[in-house]
Amino acid sequence: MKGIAIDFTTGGPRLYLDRQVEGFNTTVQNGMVNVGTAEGSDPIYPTRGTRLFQTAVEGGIVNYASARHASNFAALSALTFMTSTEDADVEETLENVTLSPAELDVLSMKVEAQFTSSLGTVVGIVSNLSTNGS
Amino acid sequence: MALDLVTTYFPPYTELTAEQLQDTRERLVAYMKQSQPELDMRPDSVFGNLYLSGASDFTTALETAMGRFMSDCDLENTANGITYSCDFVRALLANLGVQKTTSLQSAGVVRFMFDADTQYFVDRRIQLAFSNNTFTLKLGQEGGLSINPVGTPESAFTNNVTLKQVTSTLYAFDWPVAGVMTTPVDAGSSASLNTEITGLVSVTALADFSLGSPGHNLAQLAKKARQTFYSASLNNRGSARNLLTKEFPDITAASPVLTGDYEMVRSSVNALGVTTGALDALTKSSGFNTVDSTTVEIPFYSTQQGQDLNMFVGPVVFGSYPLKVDSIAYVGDTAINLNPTGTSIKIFSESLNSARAPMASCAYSGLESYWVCIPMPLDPATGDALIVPSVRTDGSQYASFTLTYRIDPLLPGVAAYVGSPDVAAVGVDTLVKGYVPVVIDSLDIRYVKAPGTTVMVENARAEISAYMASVGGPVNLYSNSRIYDIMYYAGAQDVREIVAQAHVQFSIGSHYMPYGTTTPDDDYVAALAAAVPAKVITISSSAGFLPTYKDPNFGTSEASYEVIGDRNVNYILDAEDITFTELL
Repeated sequence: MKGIAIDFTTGGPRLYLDRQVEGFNTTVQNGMVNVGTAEGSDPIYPTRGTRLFQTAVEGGIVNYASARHASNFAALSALTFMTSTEDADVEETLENVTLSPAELDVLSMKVEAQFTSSLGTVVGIVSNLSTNGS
Repeated sequence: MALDLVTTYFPPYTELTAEQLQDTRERLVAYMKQSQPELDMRPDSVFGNLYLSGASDFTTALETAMGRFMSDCDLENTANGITYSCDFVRALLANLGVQKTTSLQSAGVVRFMFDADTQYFVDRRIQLAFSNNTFTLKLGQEGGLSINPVGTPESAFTNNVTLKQVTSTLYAFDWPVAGVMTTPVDAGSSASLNTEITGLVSVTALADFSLGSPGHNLAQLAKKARQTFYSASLNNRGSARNLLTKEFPDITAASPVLTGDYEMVRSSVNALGVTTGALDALTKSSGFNTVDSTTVEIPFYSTQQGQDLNMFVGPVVFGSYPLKVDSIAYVGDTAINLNPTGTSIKIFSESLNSARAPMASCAYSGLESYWVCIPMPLDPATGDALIVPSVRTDGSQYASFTLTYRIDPLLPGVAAYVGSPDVAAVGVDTLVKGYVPVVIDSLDIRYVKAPGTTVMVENARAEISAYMASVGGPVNLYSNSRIYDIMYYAGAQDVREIVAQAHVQFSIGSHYMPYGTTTPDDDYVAALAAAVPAKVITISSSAGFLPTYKDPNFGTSEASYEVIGDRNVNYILDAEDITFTELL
């Protein structure tokens, strides 16, 4: 599996037509796109995307607890959709998605993502947050 | 014609459903995987989002547009009222020879009435004007119309017609006309001619004229195209029906009966074992059941072959093909009951061409001729004769009788047209006939209604009458459910029973004269002995309105050739014979 590469590290997604991602990384890249896509914005797949961004702009994320809550739902939504639309011939499929709020202030929230494949490959990191949500 | 596919055929984007788009996307992925098996095309992938999503939208819209375009090419859809590009369909229909015309080819049948029994000729260019409507004769052959005196045999493949005596001084013939009708032409309307014909008394419309093409919207044009496109000839059943309805728009039912059909009794097997082809073109027009009358002089025979007879016996020529005889009355005193027993009057039916249509198979066609035999009515008290016959100069005696009967005025015109060399089917003996009628003397609808409701019986009567007049097999067969519907909409709660007094009338003749037998004017007794009585099938309820019967002697020398089935059945019912009985 090969795909055109997207760089998420430059302050926003950026396409690199001369670069490609391969293997499970294509799935991870798709997962990142999915998380950043507003649910309902795709007329072909109305369930594609998450409500993470919409929840934030609607004022639904006011603290880490609500941020974790929204992130968990977004992770589950992304996993469910990607699993359901996975190609039949892909050997290394997506097994788990974890989204964790890393930074939160009144203007922004940074989320760290981790994608685990069916073969045990782990891509990304998850913040080590306390379990009481503080 | 420039094709703006997007504006004309593309659906609004909002009409594309997610299911459609997903289906298209999956098919596109499956297709593109053939060349790019490694490329990530999943949702959320760059290629998937940037290219496949848009491609799916466009392809889905394009598939819908192409479906609509193909729908426009399928005239069945247009006939059902589904059209996406009227310009395209109009052009398509024009290529099939079907297009809107500004003038409608209306049709009807006129009666020419003359004051003398002699020969006439009518130029084919003659124009008949009904007010501001102009019509011309519908002639199947080249040349004008030759009109011959009463009794002249009619010959096929000619524009010849024979006069029929309708009163003691008037002679007539009926002929179909076609032309442009901007205002209705009703039955009885008189026409003025652009040339003078000596001896012509009048030209009148026999029945209401019908508009030729029923309408000109695309659906109707497409329907016509579908009917005429595949064929309009006498070579098969469907095309024969198309030909008749196309040429005679006022035909309301047409049923081609072919060799091999249950109702076909004219086809036979020749010496080589080959079945000769035959086609009975049964037709029924909007003028069906028109009342007509004719007055004839019938010779009186006090004796015949040395024996007392005391009977009026003679041939009768009707104005058109008679469907039912209502009455026969003595002109001098119409109150005299000529038929006291109900079977006193005998009508002999004789085929003019027994090789083509023997016995009852010629019924309701131009091949059927008739002999009417009326016993001298006697005073029941004194036994005296009630009619004093007139005497001719040669000493022969006669009396004038008026016969009132029902006709379908279009039948002779259809027969003349079908006989045209350009139209006649090759190798198939085609005979235009009327349907075999089930004559309904009374129809009693027994219904129940909810308390406090009113049943509009007059509306129901008119609708039932119209329905029964429109029925004609095999396409439009009688169904009780239609009566139920009519009664329901008239206000009845339910119909419990439909009781009828009816009978199948295989011919208006009471007897069939086998080929070569003595005619009644020569020897009535011998003719009656040789004749085959017509079978009468009585029907007592609507359950019997679709009778099936074939002469059990068919194929033997005693055959009457009577047959009735779905393909040749129809009904004669007068509105006043419909009664309604409310059951409590």
